[in-house]
Formats: sequence, structure tokens, C-alpha cells
Amino acid sequence: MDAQDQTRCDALFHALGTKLLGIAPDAIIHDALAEPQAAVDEDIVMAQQALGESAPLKLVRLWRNRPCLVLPRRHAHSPAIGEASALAGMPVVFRKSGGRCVAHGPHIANLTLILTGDHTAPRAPYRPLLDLLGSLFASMGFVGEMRSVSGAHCDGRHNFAVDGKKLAGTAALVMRRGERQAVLAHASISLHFIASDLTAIMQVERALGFEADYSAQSHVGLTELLGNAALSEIGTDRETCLA
Amino acid sequence: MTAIVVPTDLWEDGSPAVLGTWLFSDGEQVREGTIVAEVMRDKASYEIAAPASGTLRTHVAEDDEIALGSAIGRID
Repeated sequence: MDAQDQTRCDALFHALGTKLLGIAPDAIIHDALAEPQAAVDEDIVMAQQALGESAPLKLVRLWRNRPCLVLPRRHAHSPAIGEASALAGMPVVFRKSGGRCVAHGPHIANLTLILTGDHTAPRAPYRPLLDLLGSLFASMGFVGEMRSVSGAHCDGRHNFAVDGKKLAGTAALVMRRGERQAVLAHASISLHFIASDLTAIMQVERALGFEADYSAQSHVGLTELLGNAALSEIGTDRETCLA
Repeated sequence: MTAIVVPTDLWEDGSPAVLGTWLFSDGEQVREGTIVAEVMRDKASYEIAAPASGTLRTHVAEDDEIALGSAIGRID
């Protein structure tokens, strides 16, 4: 990713944050975190703290991470994880939610929604997050649909897709402590699609024994979707970036 | 002996899931309430807690298909 793309991603992330605060005023915005695993674990820390509160909570976090690949923790003890990590070309860290391998970095915005108590819908863990994503993207002028996307990495029924391409993927974790429960659902939103992410993901997944054959044509980033006019409005047009 | 049962109210449509991972090995000592397994469905992970303290005995392997209400292990 060159300097212009980096600048665009920075501006897009801040624009997303501004839009999000208009929808969820208490949202937490985390950027430029220090260490990839700690950034991922912060979601769990927040969920565990929420579980300890007696009142029902709704927590929203928009965040970015340093470049890394993120795998479900079940793979942490795979005999092949050493070989897979060596092929990644970047740090490999682990999350508690399901799915397959995803990339993090300055070109990916992560949106986390944690619900406890009466707010939870553990039998439909993605619905509140998809509603939030729909509102967030509608505020930026475009609509999408919840669907699987053939050829997309970490595919699932609850992707947020635009024109048949995956813009955001989702995964969830349902935690129970006695009678209390928390639903943590998160989305990885592509600010700017980078094909080399797919190469790294496929290498890692194949080393872990998965069939992995993904297509760049199945993915899209916000920079592609928004177009120059919209990018200009949020200060990410070419001229601004080169200034 | 206490069975470790996948709660019947975890999701709506009763569709099958897989045992994502055991967080302890067969024969390990666990305490009641400790998260011992994860059930995976639709890219969602559902934590399964030990229903009692004792020795964990696993009945299913990772990636085995499981159903709501099924026993995936026991605590001796």
C-alpha cells in the first residue's frame, strides 16, 4: 500500500468514526494500537467487563490493527501452525470467534458490537451488527446485502456485500457465565482491498490443511465503492492526498 | 458423572454445528463453570462451560458434527 492509499485509509477510518458516532454516540474509537494480539484481545476484555456489570450493556468499538493475520484460536495448537506462520510474512494472532483466516492492517476497519443482558440476541448473533453496518454504510450513501460471496475468503452467510462483492466479513462469539451472557459480533470492513492479503491468507490456510482458492474479484474496498466525488467530500481525493 | 450437553437454546433453527475445539484435554481436571469447549456454527463460536468440577472426558473430536442437546463429553 503506497502513501496515497495509506492517507486515504486514514481519512476513511476517521470518516467512518464520525459517521458511527452519529449513530452510536458512545462508540469507542481505537486507532494505532501497539501490539496485534492485544488489539484483538481488547474485544474480549470489553466483553468480560460487560459480563461483570449487572445492567444490560451495548458497547461499540471501531478499531484498526497493525498488519497481521488473525485465525480462530482452535488453530493455535495445530501441528502446522509453525509452518503456516512462517509463510504469512507478518505476525499471526488468534481470536475467539469463528470463521477462517482474515487480515488486519491500516486498510481494514474493525467494528465490534458487544451486547449483554436484555440487549442480547444469542440465537441470532449477527442481526444487531448487520443492522449497525447497514446504517453506517447507508449514511455514506450506499446499500448492501447480507449474503455469502463465492470466491471470498472467510466466507459466510453474514457478509456485508455490495454488488455481489464482499465489503465486510463477520464472526461472533457467544459467552455465558451462569445465567449471564454476552454476544460479541465483529466485522472486518475493507477500506482498501489489497490482493496480497489473499495470497498470504491462502498460503496460511493451505499449510493448515484447508482448500483455499479465493479470488480478488470477489472482494471490494470502500475506496473503490465511494468514487472520487465522495472521496473528495471526506478529504481523500487524489489531490488532497498528494498535497 | 455429569454430562456436558450443548444447550438446546443456543440457536434458532436446530441446524447442526461442529465441535470447534476442546480447551482442555481428555483426563484433565476442570472446575465447574470453566469454559471447556467451543461449538462452531455459522462462523459463531459458542462457549461451553463445565457443568461440574472433576475429570473431563471428551466424547467427540474436533470438527465432529453435533446437535443441540447432544452430550459432547462428561465430568467424572
